[in-house]
Amino acid sequence: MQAEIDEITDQTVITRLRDWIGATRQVNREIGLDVDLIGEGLLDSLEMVNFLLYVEELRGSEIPEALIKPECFATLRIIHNTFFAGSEPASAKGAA
Amino acid sequence: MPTAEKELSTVLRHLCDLSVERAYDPYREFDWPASIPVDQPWLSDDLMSFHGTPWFGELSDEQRLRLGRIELVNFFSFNVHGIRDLMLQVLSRIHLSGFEETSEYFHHFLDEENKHMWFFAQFCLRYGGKIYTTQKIQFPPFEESDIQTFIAFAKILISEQVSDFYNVRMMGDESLPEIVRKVNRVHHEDESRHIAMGVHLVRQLYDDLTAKYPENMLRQVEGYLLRYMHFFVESFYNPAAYRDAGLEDPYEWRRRLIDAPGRRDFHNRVLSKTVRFLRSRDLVCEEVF
Repeated sequence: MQAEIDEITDQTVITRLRDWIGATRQVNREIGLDVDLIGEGLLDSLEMVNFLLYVEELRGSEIPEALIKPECFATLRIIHNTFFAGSEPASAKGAA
Repeated sequence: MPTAEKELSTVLRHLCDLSVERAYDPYREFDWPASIPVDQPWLSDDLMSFHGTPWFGELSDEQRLRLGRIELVNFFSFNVHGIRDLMLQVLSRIHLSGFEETSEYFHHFLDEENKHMWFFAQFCLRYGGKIYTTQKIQFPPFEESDIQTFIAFAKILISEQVSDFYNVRMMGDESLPEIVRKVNRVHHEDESRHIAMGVHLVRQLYDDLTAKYPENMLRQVEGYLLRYMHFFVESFYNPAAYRDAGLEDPYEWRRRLIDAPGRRDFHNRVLSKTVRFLRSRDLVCEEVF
C-alpha cells in the first residue's frame, strides 16, 4: 500500500483533503487512500457540498456537473485521480 | 380513523379543491418582458447575502445591483434544483401503500411544482443566461424506510418555508421589477397549500416514528434536521455567484459571510416558522444557529 501511496505525487492535496474530513467529522485516525468515505460515514450528503466546494477551491476551478456524483468522491484516491491528477493544485488561500 | 388521520384527510380534500379552483396555465400567466432594467434592484437589499455585514456598505451602487441580480438568479436556480429533488421524492411514493390518503393531493402537488420549476427556469435562462449548477449529491442518511420518508417530507417542508420567506418579502417589495414580484407571488400562492400539507403530513409521520423508535434514534433524526437547516440556509452563499459578481476569492467570501455575526439574526428569521413548528412537536429541541 505504501508503494501505491508514493505513486501519488501530490501528497499536499491528499493531506489537505484528509485533514478537512478529519476536522469536519472529528476523525482522529488516519484516513487511508482507499477508505470508502461515504460507506463509512466520513462524508454524508449534507457535508458533501462543503467538501465539493473545498475540492473546487483546491483545484482552482469549478467541478463539471457530470462529475458531481457519489462515485467520483468514493475514496481519497478516486478524488485525487478524478480532480487533481495531471494538474497543479491551486494555492487554496485560507483553505488549510 | 384516528383523529390525526381524519384531520389530515379533511385538510387534503380541502387542498385538492383549492388546487382545482385556483389552477392556472403558467405558459399564459406570465408576460415576460424582453429585458429587465438593471438600474433598479432585482432582489430586496435585506435578502442579499452581504446584508447585515460591514461589507454591505462598502459595495458601490453598481456592485450592489449586480450582486442582487446574480443572487436572485442563484435563488431561483436553487429553487429549480430543489423542486426537481422534491418531485422525485413525491413521485417515488405516490400510489404506493401507505400513501393512499395523500396520493390524490400529490397529483396537484406535482403539477404545481412542475409549473414552478418551469417559471423559475424561464426567469434564470431569460434574464440570467443560465441556471446555476447544484452541488448536491444525495444519498439517504438513514436505512429505515419510514425514517427516510419522514426526512424527505420534513426537508420538503423546510425548503418550502424558507423559500416562502423570500417570496413573501419580494412579492411585497415595490422597488423590484413587476416580473420578479409576480414570480414570487405566484409561487407563494401555491406554496401556502403545499406548506399546509407538509405541516400535517410531517406531524403525522413523526407521530408514527415516536411510537416506534427509541429516544436516541429520534435525537439522531433531530441532529440530521438541524444540520439540514444549516445546509439549506448556507446553500444561498454560492461561490459561483460571487465569482460572476466579480468578487475575488469567492470561496473565502462564502465562509466569511456565513460566519459573519450580522448574518446569524437573518438565518434565525428565515428559519423562524420552521423552527417554531418543529419545536412545537418536540422534533427539534436544540438551537439551530
